[in-house]
Amino acid sequence: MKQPEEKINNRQLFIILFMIRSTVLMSFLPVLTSADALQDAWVAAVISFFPVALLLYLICRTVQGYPDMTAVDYMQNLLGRWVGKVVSAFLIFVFLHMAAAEGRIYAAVITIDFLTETPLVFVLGTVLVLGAVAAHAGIEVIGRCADLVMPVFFIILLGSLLISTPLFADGLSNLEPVLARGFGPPLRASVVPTGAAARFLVLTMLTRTLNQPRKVLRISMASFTLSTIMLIIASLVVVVVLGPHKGARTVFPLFTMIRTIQLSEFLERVEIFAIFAWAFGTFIGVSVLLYCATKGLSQLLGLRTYRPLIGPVFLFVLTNANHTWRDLFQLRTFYHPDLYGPWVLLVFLLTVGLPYAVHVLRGSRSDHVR
Amino acid sequence: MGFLQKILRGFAKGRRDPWHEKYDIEKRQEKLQQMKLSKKLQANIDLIEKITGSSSDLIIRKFRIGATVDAAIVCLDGMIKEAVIDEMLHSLIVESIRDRWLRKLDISAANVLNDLLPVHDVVEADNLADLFDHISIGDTCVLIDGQSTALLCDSKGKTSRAISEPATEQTLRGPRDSFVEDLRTNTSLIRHRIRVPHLWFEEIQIGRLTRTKVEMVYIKGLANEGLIKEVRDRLNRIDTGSILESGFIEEFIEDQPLSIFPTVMETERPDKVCACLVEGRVAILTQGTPYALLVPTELVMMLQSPDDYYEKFPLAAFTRIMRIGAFLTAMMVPGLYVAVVTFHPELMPTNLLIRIAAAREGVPFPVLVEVLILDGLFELLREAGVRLPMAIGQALSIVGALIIGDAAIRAGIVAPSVVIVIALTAIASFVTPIFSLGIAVRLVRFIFTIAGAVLGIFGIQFVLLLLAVHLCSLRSFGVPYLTPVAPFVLRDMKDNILRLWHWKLPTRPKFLGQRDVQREDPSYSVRPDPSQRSREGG
Repeated sequence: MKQPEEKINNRQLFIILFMIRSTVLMSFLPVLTSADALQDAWVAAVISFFPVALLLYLICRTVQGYPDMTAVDYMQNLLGRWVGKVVSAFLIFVFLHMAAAEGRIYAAVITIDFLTETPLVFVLGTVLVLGAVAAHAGIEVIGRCADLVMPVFFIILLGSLLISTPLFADGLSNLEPVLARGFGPPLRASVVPTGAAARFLVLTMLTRTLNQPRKVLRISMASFTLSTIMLIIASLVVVVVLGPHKGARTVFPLFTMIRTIQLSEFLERVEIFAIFAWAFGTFIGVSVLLYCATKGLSQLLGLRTYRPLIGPVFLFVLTNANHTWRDLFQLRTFYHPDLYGPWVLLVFLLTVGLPYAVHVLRGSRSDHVR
Repeated sequence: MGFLQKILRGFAKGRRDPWHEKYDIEKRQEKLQQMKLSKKLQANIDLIEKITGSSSDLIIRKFRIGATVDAAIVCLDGMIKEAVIDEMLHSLIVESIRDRWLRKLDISAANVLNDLLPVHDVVEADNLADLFDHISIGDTCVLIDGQSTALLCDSKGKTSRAISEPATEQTLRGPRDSFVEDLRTNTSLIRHRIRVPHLWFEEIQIGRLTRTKVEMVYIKGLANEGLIKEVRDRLNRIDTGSILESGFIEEFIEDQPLSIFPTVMETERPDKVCACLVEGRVAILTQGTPYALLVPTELVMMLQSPDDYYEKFPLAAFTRIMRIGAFLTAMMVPGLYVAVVTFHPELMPTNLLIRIAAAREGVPFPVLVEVLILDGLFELLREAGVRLPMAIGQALSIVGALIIGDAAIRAGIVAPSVVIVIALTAIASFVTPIFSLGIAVRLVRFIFTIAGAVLGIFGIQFVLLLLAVHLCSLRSFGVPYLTPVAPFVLRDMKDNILRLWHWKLPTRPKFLGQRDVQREDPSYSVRPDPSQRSREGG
């Protein structure tokens, strides 16, 4: 019997995109942007808005040309059967790689900050199991979970950024001098937040499940704008509270910043709440990435359902996440602009640029014929 | 001689009645379905006696109609109203003589039905299955010699208990009646409240042996036709020997039998059933139990009490929020305590931490074991309290709560803070209005406690997210279990975590897909039009 098609609505896509964009930024990114840009980290965040917006435009335009197809289908349609398959396989690998990185960052935060005695692979296992279970339940369930955890996620993150405002008055001078070394450092620093937008590639798989695929560009742009605002605020707050140099050195600057906050006499170390919220985002991110990867893989292999693939894919990602990076510092190195920049450039060129170019060429030719 | 004996025994064996010896229950039921009534009265009576084994409550009274035709009534003692039978017999024996003399009446089944039976509800049947079906619910069967049709007359005697207050769902304000075991009484309780002819009752018989009457109740034109069909199909699909309580049906029709969370709600309150019917839901009533089933059911529905609708809005909203808080407390607080004490003592204010550490001084067990011991003890006390008569139950709770708790602290087996945590959990767990949800919460609580001991707060979060995935994937008759929170439906939030004023609830819940969504005039305002007021005020 043919299973009914799973659908998510616009709001759920908005939330999913917002969460998968915000999580990495919240935990890790201010350090990466401020590493080069120091006090101008927020300028880097602003700059990154433009290339990512362009990227979103390209993805959405291509996808809208094939509203009832996923990336695996339309790549083969556009690039030919074999090239299409190779590029799709690469895209699936990118999904799995991002899921592994996301899980690894989460596990690293937990084992370094809180459960110092617990083996990394154990914590990694919990977050990936969660993602796998949700992916197995399907995109509808992931959408509903996103609905459920979004209020908590948003309120806690916004709250933890807002409660730092009393510290602002002392630290505003940390932001000066603005653009002292010109646009060079912020430009270089903006590579990483731009690259982190590779998560938006899930749109190539999710648009087909949307109730109204026509609105995909508008929704993703809105979601992205909101998450960019959060990123700018986070960069500002980190630099103001911790200072540009400490902010650049710390591994998880946002959490360190929140730790400095003491609520009244008796409540300290409130960063655990921020980590709690962030884990919600990681969960949604990992589950969406695993869903997209397994769904794409099943289409590539010509299977009727993707669910039997979840188990093997989970093991693959777990192994990958555990062994790809020796420790957190290697993971940081991977996210350095010199390494991460070329990698994401390759990813974007192959999975977004190439299909879009063929799509436009083919479109204009057919217009010409007509 | 031996040879002759053998032959005789062989004959006797051949003649042995299969109804007594050979047929098992399947065969008996199958034969019964095929059997037709004969024209001979005595043959019919013999057959009935054979099939029932001349049960001690079987009444067969032979008589003559119009002093000429042999007839008999068959009924079951204890199920009937004697006055009805007496009146019937009077008419059939005495009146028939006069009628026959005056009008030369021909004694046929049709004439007896039309002229001689002073009973409002009579059904004709020509097979034994129907006959037994009717007499087993208190009807009386009239058999007439020469006729292969039996007349089944309504003579039910009510054996139901009186309508009383609900035992499990009490409210401070609101109606005090509750369902009883008798199906007809229950349907009348609903009819009294919803007085439109579009309130439909559909009867379905389930259970090969119990032949239990089950009624599907809905408002035609309001409830979604797809939903009605789905409920009907699922009920018709049930093939089982016996249905003794609505719990049997619940397990057959629920969407996810493996989940510990109930996706079908049970209630013994007619007002609750009516509230659901007018929202476009379907109720299922079962003969022999005061518990009705309601579908589809969402999780939030089970955290609502009828009180919420009878009290004023702000109070109702407050109690509802408190109830949701209690639901979360009952589920997670022991786990959180274990997690914080074991892994994250830095989250506690220093003074509190020192106090807890001092109190735990000398306690021989880890926190997890302490919590599990006390939680297990509490579950034990609760289970014992349910089984005991009320007077002893109180004594038990005093022994359990006060004496054991106090002694355990004094003996240094558990720390006082654990007792506080478990007591808080216990109180919170009694706030959940629906018992079956309470059981699910109790089970999940143990999982949270163990997860808290393994991975601290992150363990709690792990279980919380697993639970979220599970709850999000549940459906009750096609409706997502967490609606209207996930998927989020803003329009339905007006009667969810909060309940707005009744005049602010102009639409019925969207996800039920009713055919008429509008409940009241959306332009209604509590304050009358100022121009009108000034005119009235004069």
